[in-house]
Amino acid sequence: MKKAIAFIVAGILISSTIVAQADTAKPATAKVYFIRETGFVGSLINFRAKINDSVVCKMSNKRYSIHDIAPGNYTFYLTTWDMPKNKKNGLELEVEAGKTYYLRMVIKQKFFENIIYYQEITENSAAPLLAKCKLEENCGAD
Amino acid sequence: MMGLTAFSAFIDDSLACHVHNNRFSVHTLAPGLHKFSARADGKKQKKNIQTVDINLKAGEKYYLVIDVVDRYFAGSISLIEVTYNTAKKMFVTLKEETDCGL
Repeated sequence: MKKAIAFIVAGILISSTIVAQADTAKPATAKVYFIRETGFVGSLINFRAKINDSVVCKMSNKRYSIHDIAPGNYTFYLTTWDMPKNKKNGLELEVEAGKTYYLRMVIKQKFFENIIYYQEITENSAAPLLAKCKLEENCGAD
Repeated sequence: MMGLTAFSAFIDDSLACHVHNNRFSVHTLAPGLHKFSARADGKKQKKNIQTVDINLKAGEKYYLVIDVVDRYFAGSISLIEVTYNTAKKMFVTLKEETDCGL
């Protein structure tokens, strides 16, 4: 009888550890892709990708980068050396763990200025853009 | 750039709308695979144009932006599928294209 009880207890312990392991296997972060394929205009200038006021990547044209970001609300925006304040054109995004987000950098020409901002696009549209671009690794490092 | 031109939007090889700058149009389609494309002008789709293929599901909404990217010698026009999060910001400044010029 004691053996049987010990066997059941051991079974419960093993199954609970398996459940705990399954819980830890869930990703705690989200993947965010920054994609820059902005064409001829401004192609010589690096974009500084900022998340909540801190620079996470300096991005050249025809490049993309991948970032693991903790869940939460963020403002994603872009600056350049001649446009250091551009938060008004930022994209506010609620990032959820385990999801993938594709943020495309866009330059829009107005009469007297250019505006740079993010567009959140679907995986369907991101795939052909990613095929054209190279992965920018360690783009946040100086 | 090209702000005065009405772009031609095609659904499954047929002209669906002439879309002016700062306008949007709404189309109701049957579920299933559909091909979307755009060009600067004209009533027929170009042969070697890149299409956006979407397998539409009933009851869902999809947002496609006609995008112009400046290249060295000419601008290239393409369709980009964006999320609702991006589209809702754009709708603030856009007006609906009612007759689509067809």
